[in-house]
Amino acid sequence: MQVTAQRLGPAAVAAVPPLQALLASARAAEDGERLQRINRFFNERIVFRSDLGVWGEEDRWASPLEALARGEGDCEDYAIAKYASLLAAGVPRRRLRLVYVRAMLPETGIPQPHMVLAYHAEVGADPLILDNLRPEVLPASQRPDLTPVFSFNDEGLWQGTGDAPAGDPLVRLSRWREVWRRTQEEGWR
Amino acid sequence: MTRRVELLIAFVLLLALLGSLGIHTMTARQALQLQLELHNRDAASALALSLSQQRGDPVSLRTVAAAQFDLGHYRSLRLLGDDGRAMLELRQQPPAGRAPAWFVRSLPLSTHPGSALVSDGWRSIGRLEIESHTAWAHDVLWDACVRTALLLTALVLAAGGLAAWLLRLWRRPLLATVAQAQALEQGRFVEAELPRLPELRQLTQSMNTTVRRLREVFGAQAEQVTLLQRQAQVDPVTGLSSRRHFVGQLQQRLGDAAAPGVALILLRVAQLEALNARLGHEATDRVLGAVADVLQTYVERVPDTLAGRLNGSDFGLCLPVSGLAAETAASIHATLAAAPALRVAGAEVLVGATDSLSGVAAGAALAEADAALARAEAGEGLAVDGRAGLAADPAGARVWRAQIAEALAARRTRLGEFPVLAPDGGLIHLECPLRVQLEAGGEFQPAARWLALARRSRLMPEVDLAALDLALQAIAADGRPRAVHVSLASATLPGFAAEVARCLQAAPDATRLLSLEWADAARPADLRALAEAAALWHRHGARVGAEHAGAAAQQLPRLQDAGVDYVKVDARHVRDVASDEAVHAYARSLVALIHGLGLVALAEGVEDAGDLAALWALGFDGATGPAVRLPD
Repeated sequence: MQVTAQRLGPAAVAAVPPLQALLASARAAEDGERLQRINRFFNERIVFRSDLGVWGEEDRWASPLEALARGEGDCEDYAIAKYASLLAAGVPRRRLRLVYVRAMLPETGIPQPHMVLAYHAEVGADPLILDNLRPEVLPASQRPDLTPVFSFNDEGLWQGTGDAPAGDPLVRLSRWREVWRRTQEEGWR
Repeated sequence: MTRRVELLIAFVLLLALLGSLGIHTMTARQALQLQLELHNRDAASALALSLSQQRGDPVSLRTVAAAQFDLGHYRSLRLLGDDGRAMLELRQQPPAGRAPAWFVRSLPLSTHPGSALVSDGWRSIGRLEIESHTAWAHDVLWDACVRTALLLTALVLAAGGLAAWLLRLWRRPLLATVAQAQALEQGRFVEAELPRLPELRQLTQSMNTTVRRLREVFGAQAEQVTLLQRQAQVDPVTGLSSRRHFVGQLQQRLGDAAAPGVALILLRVAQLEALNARLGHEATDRVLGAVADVLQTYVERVPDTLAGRLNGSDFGLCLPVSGLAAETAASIHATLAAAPALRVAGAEVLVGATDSLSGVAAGAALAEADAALARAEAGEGLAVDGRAGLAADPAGARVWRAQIAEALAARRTRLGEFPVLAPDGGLIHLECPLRVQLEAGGEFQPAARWLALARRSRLMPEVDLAALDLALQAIAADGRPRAVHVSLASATLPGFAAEVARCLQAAPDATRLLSLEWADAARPADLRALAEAAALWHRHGARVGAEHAGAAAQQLPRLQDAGVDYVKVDARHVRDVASDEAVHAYARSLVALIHGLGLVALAEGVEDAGDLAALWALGFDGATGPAVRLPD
C-alpha cells in the first residue's frame, strides 16, 4: 500500500498511516462501529466533485488510494473506497452491496443517477446506507430520496480467473473489474 | 542420396503443416473461449438488471428469465436464493453442431457461467448464473480448422511439388556426373552436357576438362607409341620396313597356312659401295629412294603386300599371292631400268624372285630368293624360281578337307598345352591350340598344317567348337585354367556366339577357368559382332582376350571396346627386348597403354631368358613361349 502511495504522490503517502490506523482499529470493532468510522473517514477526506473536473474524463472510477491522493472524487469513488475498507476491516463480502440508485438531490429536487454502499446485516433486513450526500449512516427506510435500481459486489467476479493475474484480458474489460483490479493491487486484501 | 533429401523435405513440410494447424486451432480456441466468457457475463448482468426491476414477483421473474433464455443461446440459467437454493432453473440440451464428437471431446471450450446479483429495491433476491452453450463456437472452430487444414495442405503440396521439381533438376546432372566418373573408371572418355544449375555446372565443367585432358594424354601416348613403332620397324632412309620387321612379317605370312602362298622378290642395287664412293652419299640415297618408291607403289596398290630394306643394298617385296612373281619381277626390273634417278647415277638393280612359298621358314624362303638373285647377278639381272605350293592344287585341297572333317567327326583331336605364367611363376592359363590327327593312327598335326584349308572349307566353327569342348573337359578333369583360340571367321558368324554360350552354360564350373581369345586383326566391322559375343560369354563367366596384338598401338583402345580382359602382345614386339633399345621402348609404351586401358598385358613367343627378365621389369603381367616353362 505504501509503495503504491509513493507512486501516487505526497497526499497519498500522508493518507496511508491514518488509513492503516483506521483499518486496524476497525478490525477490532463491531460491524456498526466499523461502518461509522469508515464512512466518516472517507466523507471527511474526499471532497465531492464530478469526475469531469477531477480526471478530465467522463466517469472515471478511481481506486481508494487514487481518490485519497486527489482528495476529491465522485459518488462511486466514495462507495468503492468504503467497500474496499470495510472488506479489509473484516466485514463479510455477502453483507455489502454497491447499489445504483436514483437520487433526488436535496438542494434542487432534480433526480440524478448515484451510487451508494448498502450494508445488509441479515437476509431480508432493512440495509444501512453509506452515502456522501448525507454524511451519517442511515437505514434505507429513512432515505426516501434514494430509489435502488441495481446492486452488485465483487462476489463471483474472479470466478474462473483464479487470482486475477494482471495479464488476463478479461479483467480489463469493464470499469468495475478494472478499478477493482487496481484496488487489489494497492494491497487491500 | 536424393531419396533421403526427399524424405527430409516431406518430414519438414508435414511438421510445418501440423504445427501451423495446431497453433492456429489453439489461438482460435482461446479467442472463442474469451468471447464466450464475456458473453456469459454480459448476459448475466443484463438479465439481472431486468430481473431487479420486477419487484420480486416470482411470475414476472420467471417470465422475463424464460423470455431471455428462450430467445438466446444458453445452456443453463439459474437463480440462486441467498440461502443457496435454486429459485429458478432452466436448462437446454445444446443443438447438435456440425463439429464431430471427437473434435468437441478433444478440444473442449471450458467457460465459466456469468453471474450477477438480483434484488428487489434494497432487498436482495439472489444470484443469477448464466452459461451460453458452446456448440456454435465448436462449429466455428471446426470450420476454421477444416478451412485452414485445406489451405495449408494445398500450400504444402505446392511447396512439395516445387521441391520435387528442384530435386529432379539437380538429380539429372548429378547422375550424369556419376555416370561420367564411372565411365572414366572404365577408361571411357565421356563428356557430359552442361547443366543450368551454376554449382553443378562448375562441377561438370571440371569433369569435362579432366576427361578432355586425360583423352589428350592418352592420345599423345598412343602417338608416341606409334612413333616408336615406326622407329623400330621402319628404315629411316627409304621409309620401308626394317629388316627385322620385314622378316618377322614374312615369317608370319609363311606360317599362316590360310594364305594361298606368297611370292618373294629380292632386289639389289649392284655395287652400291662403288656407287657411293663415286657419287656421294646424297646421290646414293636418291637411288635407294627411287627403288623404294617403286616398291611402295605395290604396297599401296595390293593389300597385304610387304616391302622392306634388308641391308644396305638389298630390298625385299613379298606379294600375298602365288603365280605373279615372274610377272612382277619383270615389271619392276623394267621400271627401275627406266627410272631417271638410276639412269643418271648409272646404277643397276638386280631382281631375283621365287613363287608359291608356303609352310617354310623365312630364312629358307629368303635363301631361295637369294639364290634366284645370285642367278640374276650372274645372268641378265632378272631370275625367277618357280615352286608348286600345297594350296595351289585344287584336287589336293578336296582330299584335305575330307580328312579334316572326318578327323573332327571321329574326335581324332587333342589339345596342345603351352603355359602362360605370371612373374611369380603362377599359372595364368594353358594356351591350348588344337591338334588334329588327319590320318587315323597317324601323327597329331599342328594348325599350320591344316588351318588354312579348314578356313577355306568353312570348317572353322567345327574346329573351334572341338577345341572348346576339349578345353572344358580338360578343365573339369584337372581344374587348371585354359585358353582356346576362336577364329574371327567363326566369331563373326551369326549364331556361333550363342552356340559357344550353350557349351559354356553346360559346364559352368569349368567356364570360370576358361579364356577365349581371337587374333587382334579384326576389321572395325567385325568389332561389334566380337563385342556382342564377348558380352555374352562374359555373362557365363568366361574371360576374353586378344592375341597377336600390338601392331597398331593407336587401335588398342578398340580392344577395350570389344570387351577383352587381356591382351597378348605379339612375339615380334618383344623379341630382343633385352638387347634392342627401340623394341624395349615400344614394349614399354605398349604395357603402359594396355595398363592404362585397365587391361592385362601378356607377352607371346618369348624365346630368351634375358628377354623374359626384361619383360618382367617392364611390368608385363604374364608371358608364354619357349623360355617360359612350368616348374616341375
